[in-house]
Amino acid sequence: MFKLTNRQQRRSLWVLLVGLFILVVLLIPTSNWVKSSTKEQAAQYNSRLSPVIMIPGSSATKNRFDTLVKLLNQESAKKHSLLKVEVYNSGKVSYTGKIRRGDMEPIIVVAFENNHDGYSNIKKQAKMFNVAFEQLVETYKFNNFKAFGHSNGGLIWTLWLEKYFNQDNGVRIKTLMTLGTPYNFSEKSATNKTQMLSDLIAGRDKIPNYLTVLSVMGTKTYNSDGLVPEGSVEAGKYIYQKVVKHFTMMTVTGTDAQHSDLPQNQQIVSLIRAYLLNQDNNQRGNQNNRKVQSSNN
Amino acid sequence: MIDTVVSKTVRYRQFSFIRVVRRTLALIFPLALVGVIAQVLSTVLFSDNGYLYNVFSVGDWMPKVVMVVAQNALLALSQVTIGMLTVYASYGAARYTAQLYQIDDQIPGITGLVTSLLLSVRYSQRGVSFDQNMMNYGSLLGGLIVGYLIGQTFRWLVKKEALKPGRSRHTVDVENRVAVCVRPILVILMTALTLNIILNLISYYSSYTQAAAILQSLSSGETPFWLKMVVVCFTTLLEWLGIVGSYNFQPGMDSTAATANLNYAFAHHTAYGVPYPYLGSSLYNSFANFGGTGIALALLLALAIVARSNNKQRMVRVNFLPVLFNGNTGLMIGLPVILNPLYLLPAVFLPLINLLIAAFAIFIHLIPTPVYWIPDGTPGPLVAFVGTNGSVVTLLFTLALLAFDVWAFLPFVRLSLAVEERIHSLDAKGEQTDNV
Repeated sequence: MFKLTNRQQRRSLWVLLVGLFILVVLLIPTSNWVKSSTKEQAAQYNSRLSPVIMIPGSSATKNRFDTLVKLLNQESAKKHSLLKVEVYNSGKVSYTGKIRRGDMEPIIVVAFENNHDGYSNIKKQAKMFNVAFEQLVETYKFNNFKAFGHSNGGLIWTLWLEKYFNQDNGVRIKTLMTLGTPYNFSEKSATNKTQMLSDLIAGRDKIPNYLTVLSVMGTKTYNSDGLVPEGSVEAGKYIYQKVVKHFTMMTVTGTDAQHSDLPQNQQIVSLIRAYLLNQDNNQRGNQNNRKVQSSNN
Repeated sequence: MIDTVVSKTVRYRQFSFIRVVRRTLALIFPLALVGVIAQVLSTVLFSDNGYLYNVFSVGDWMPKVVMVVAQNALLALSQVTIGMLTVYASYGAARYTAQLYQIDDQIPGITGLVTSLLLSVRYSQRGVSFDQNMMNYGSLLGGLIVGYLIGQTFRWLVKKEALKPGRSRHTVDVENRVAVCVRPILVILMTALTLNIILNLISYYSSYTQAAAILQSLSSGETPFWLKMVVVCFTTLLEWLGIVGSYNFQPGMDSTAATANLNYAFAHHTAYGVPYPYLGSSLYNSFANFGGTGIALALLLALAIVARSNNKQRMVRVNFLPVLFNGNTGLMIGLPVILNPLYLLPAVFLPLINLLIAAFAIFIHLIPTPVYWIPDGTPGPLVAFVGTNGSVVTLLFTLALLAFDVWAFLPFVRLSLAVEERIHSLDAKGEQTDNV
């Protein structure tokens, strides 16, 4: 049926044959790519890992939460392993500690070489955090995580959620707990909005609407934790309220309620246990329902 | 039988509008071809979701500068070609309509171009902007109609003697000619402006995209199978008419049903037994869209087998690469398929038959439902292979389906070529004035 009656047809035949050849050649890399990409996606989907990622405040190092993690692991059958990550200004990322095999809820602390205060530094830190976060997802293939930020760490989380978090790549953030986070820096009243607060309010639509947010503050006097004014922590509601699924504010008083003591505060440890960590040891990582149990111990 | 078809087709082609359309499509074909090649290269090789980009992890080894420059250059090229094809179509249609009535074609041509631009203007708080949807390949039919109407307006409003074609020897001639044209230009531009204001007022533009979204949502999820079929028919019919773009099926990965399928496959390590086995968008993209809407790849192969003339074989060769990566614009305009009654049946209904066969194959568990992510510009015959995580049975099934499509296209292509030959010889015999 295919009579090569003229040169034109022969030339077309050559083109088609080359095309067929290209297709056949492409088949091998395509097949390899499909298999590996599907495997990777399936690994992430089926992953039961659900880490808690913590970001310390300014001037703090990756060792900032050592005590907190120790307290969390006390009186608990489930010991959380601790991985410390430091991001250097060059973009290099270093790791200390490791995630224990079989530990489905490790704690990962991300700190920065540039740990200075100020809006411009926070912007840089959010960007550096994103580098570390992408590496962590790539390496450990988790599909959900919980976030914790002390002081400026909460600002880095907020900025990162608005600017860098990609909701489409299959990773969900379940809960964000910020501790003494100065959403309006040292301003006591939200009527004087800092540039940062205005920016964060303007970008609030990017924050995932399924998120649960807890903003905890300490109070030493009646209006401050000794460093951050209550008004500044409370300003967080202008960012999160009406945007996320649940937004809760709590105040902690008593011993260790001073700003820098907060991560060692026994009440905070209980709050993290109750609201941030998974309650059920057998719970699958990709299920988002949380059963708040009182009869845990 | 050929005789009846020939006489019917001859009558069809004698409609002034159809004559204008054929010439205009021939005029804009080179632009469409360049544009579609740029588009295909940019999507397949240089964009994050592209097929070759992913398969060869281009992002890992290609310098970022090269990527960005290539992306921008190709975008520029496709924007001024395919991105403005309707404007050029309106220019061409106005010119050829004027030529048809033996009046000077330059001023109608330019008026066509300006009118098409004017209709695309969109008002916003920041001033005016152009609506891409009104200017690109997707609104081709609109551009052709606008151009045709403009040509007709010139014919009605200007005395024929005043606009005789021919070379103007003096500037005075040109000036005279333009003076005669002021009235029709004013009438046309005023009408276009009024239309444009109305379009803006009824926010036609957003309803256009909304309609597309509704159409798309109908094709996936829980809608009954017959309704999906109707949607597919409607889509291919629109493409045949020269109305595409936003009505095109996007890979259904964003829909909840597709996600449910994907999650099922991840959890169960198989794509057999997914909750939505007959998802319109994924079936359509995998089994009824080889080479672009209307199974362009099958048409191209059929053409390569049947055609004898230089012209047609050249058409096959220049379009082969883009069609392989699902860029069918060149073939749609160059052959042309658009508004060509001889290709109406296969272009509209063959995808439907493919869908039915594919659905049956899934029903009897011969092949799994394609659920995995498919990069943009994956060659038609490989789409289902990728979507089923490299199932060889599916690949063979797809190739068989493609062979069937080529076979089904053969008689239509043969008929179309025979008819064209007949018309050609009729013209040669007939009077010289009426050169169709």
